[in-house]
Amino acid sequence: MLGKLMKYDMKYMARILPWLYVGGLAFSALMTAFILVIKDATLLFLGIYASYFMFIIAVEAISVCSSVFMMVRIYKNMFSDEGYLTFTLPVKNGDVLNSKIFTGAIWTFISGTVAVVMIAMPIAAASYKLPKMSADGMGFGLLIESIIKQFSVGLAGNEAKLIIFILLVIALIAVSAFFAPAFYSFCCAVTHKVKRARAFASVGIFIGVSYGIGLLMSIITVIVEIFGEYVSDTTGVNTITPTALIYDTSELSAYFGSRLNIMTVELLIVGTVMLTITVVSWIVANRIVNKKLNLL
Amino acid sequence: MALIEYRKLTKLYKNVPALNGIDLDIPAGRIVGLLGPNGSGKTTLIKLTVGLLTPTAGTVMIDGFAPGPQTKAITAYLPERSYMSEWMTVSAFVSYFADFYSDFDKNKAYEMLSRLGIDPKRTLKTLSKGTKEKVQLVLVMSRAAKVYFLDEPIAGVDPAARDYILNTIIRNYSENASVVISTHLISDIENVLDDAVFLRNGQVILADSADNIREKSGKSVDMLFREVFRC
Repeated sequence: MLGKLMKYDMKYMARILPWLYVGGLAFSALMTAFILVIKDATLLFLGIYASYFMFIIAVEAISVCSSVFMMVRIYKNMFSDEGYLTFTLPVKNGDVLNSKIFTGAIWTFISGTVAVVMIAMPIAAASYKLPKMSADGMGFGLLIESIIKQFSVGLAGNEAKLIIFILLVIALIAVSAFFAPAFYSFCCAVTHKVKRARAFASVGIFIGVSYGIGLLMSIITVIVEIFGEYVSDTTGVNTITPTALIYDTSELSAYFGSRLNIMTVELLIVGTVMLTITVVSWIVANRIVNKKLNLL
Repeated sequence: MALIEYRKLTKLYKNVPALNGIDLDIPAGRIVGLLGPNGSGKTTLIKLTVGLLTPTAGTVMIDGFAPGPQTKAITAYLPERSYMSEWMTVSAFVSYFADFYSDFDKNKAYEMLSRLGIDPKRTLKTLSKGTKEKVQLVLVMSRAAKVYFLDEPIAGVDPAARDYILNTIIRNYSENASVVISTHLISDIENVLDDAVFLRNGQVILADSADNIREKSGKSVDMLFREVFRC
């Protein structure tokens, strides 16, 4: 039955989101083509900067639209009049909730993937094109070559740390995909007995607490950064001479290792907080729909 | 054995009792009128039975089970409001019901829709309120459920539509099934009722067969209702 519930939840989300993806990817393809075709370096950079803001808007639009669609589906299908049908289907109430959370996570993941592809296409085109334009005297090709070299030198000897960091990023992405649908379900479940402005109350709690969590994460990140930098300073890792950036392998490697340590700790803390909120939201929402449901 | 059993069933809304210790049995194969004025607890009783509300105290048992997936599989529920998504077409709803309810008869649903002249390809948002109610009724009555709960099915519709709705109910429920109809428009349904339950302030004040009520009181159920609930 969970599969059947998910089929209809997926159908609901599929009404609009694929069109947004097509629009976003078409925009990205146009940008990529522009970067590859244009020959004048100044015009190219002007175009890149102008498109950058439009890009951010397009990626945000996809992200916001998928979140809003997911929230509308959860609220309407479970806690508005439609809930009268949803909760009289011969399925466990918990499966109704799980279907929404799994479907929300799948669409969040798809939206994220589309956003990455949208960003990756023009970046790849620019990376290909810019070194070829160094001959025009802009020097950007040299800059990119220098950055790539520094990364390859700096990451040498830190492979294990890099793998752990990448694995944590993947885990955080997975947790993030479940976070929004689980937490919003929790907000709806908690407020479903409110008689007036129920939707407003659930969205209000969702936005308020999400911003609160965001603020908390920022504070934690800043504290870890300061502490990490302090440790790096006292151990001498941060004392890199300008020439070391290019030439000194050991200094650069130590610096990259230190940065990876700090970012890994940040990811672990952020991931743990998000995972905890996701799991607690899921458990509480499940308990409410299974044991305390009261559709007024 | 009763098909539905209520024992000491109580439901409080912010400490105000909507139902107050209901004890009631509904046998199989009967058409039961759940009768009472507004706010007497009819809808609350039905919503507790179909699992949309959680009791404050007491129990509801349907065919031996507390409300859950097993009871929902044998219970057809027509609420007093539209519960259908506006973006879906009528035929998508037919498929939806067929997907979830093993007792749903797709052919019967299409036959009834065709008799009503409702185009299955239309989305719900393009239908009038009355047509939506008819679609909902068609979907519910196309099931071969063990028990039907119809909450105010004839409230707010014209007399012609009332006749159609009542005829649809009578023609389409299986003989072994029970039908619980909540209403305060008793004269319209009195001739189809086997039993009547009078509710007042969340309590059962009378539960008997319609024939017994008429015999004992010497009045029709409708007349007795007007007498009992006179303001």
